Amino acid sequence: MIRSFTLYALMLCSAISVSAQDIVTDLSERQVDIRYSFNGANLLLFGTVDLPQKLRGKRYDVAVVVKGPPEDINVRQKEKTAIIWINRDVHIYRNVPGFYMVASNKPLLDITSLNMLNSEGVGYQSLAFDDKKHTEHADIFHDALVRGKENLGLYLHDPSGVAIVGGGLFRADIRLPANVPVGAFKVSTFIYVDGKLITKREMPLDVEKKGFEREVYSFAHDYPLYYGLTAVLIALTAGWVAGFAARK
Amino acid sequence: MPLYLPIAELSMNVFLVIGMGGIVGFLSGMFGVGGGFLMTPLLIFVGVPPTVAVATEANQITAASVSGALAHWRRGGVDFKMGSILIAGGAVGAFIGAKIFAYLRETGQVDLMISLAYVLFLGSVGGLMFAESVQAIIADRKRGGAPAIRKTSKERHSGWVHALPLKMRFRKSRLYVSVLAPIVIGFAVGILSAIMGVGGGFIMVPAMIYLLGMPTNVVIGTSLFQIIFVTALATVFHSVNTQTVDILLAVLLLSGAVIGAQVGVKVGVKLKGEQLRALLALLVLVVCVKMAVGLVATPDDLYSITTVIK
Repeated sequence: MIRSFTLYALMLCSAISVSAQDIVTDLSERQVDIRYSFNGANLLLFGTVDLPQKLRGKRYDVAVVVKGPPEDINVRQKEKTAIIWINRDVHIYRNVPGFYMVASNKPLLDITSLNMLNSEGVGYQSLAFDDKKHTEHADIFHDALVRGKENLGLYLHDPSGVAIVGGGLFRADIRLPANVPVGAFKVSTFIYVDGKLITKREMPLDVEKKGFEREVYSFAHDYPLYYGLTAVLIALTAGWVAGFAARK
Repeated sequence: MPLYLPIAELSMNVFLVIGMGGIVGFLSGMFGVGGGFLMTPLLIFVGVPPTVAVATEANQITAASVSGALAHWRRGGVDFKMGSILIAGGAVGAFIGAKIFAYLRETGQVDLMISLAYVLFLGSVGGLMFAESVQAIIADRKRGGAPAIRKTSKERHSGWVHALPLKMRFRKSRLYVSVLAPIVIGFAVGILSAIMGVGGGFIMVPAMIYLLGMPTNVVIGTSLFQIIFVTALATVFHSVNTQTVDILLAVLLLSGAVIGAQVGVKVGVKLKGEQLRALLALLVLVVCVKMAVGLVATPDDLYSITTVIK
């Protein structure tokens, strides 16, 4: 209730600038800070679309894609050797989105064709990772990568994640899990009518460690020796204090 | 209450972490082991990356060992001379172990090696200890609770270890033994410490009793004394090599562990040596079996993904 009220209030504010563009989108937060109490974040994407004259009154479809910063991923296959399972074959994928969410108002293939989706990078099937080895099993490894990311909650696919509120308004919930990678994100919104891409809009989203979490992380990576010595000093002090306290 | 861990890069419940520290700390104080062989698998089980679990655990064991060693030192249970020689070997071992660990992490075999090391060492040590302590308990029953006949100095000075050169006198342990033996034991334990995220008490305590022939009353204190230094070094080496020590996680674990360890020492003193060893052996075997099942059972998913660290 409160949520939808906020949504409309926000829409009202952004509606002022809608005249010049055919699509306006915004996020409830443009910057997500990872602090000590961080346990994931829920963002609200809302937008309004002004269809061209000839399409006015037609039903439109919306797809939202959230892409995290690129990273390299090793996908390993276990094989039974003697009696134990050992990692054997490995595929290295470069520039894999650390996070990928796709949400739409109905199943992607009900919206438009596969080619159309692939050309804009919408949907898991469009993720063409750079694979160093092109073997016959590449598909299996590709699927394993997506499955692994899904299990970590880092790849999400929700064919009913976008709600078309009516009157050109739509909204989508974006859930970032606690293990979300840090860096620059890209939030893209695509509007389709009768399977054709009418317009799209891109927004940046930043996820950053802040405060104490950032200090610790930077300390560990910039001054690893002093970080290690500090960790030891803390442990020695804590152990000594506890031993001393127990004597009393 | 969730708390975001900056190095492990995940959110965990504060009370769960402190509670885990407390339970493992209690066991560590009671048995005179660092508790790492329980905590590292436990951390991995609740979702902490294995590399972070191993490195952070080294840090946490340092604290638990300090408070444990202090308690034993007050009872006169630390042989500092023997401890120093074990540390000399342990320092080199920890350095090499941390290098091996970093290499295995790059090649994707670190999880396998952690599991294999656990199964191998926990299985053999736990099995031997359990058999020995059960025999001792049965022998004790037959004597009708009369005190066990202490091993004579001659008995303790038998075996191949005592044929080695470079002998040195250890007053506290009432031993005259080659320095090579404690150096090699310390070295082996140092490697295990860095690879497995353990203090190595589970292997050092039996080695001191059965190989060196040290009297049981100084074994636990001396082993804790050595563990302080070797895990401290392992913490520094891991910080430099892989940046996987999570200070926040370690502080939470140790705040639970230092309290648990104090209680554990008090309970441990009340139990008989062989009972203590039988219990420890059982615990070791349980963890070993758990790890072995993980190695042999068909995985739910044959494929696994890891982020490449740049």
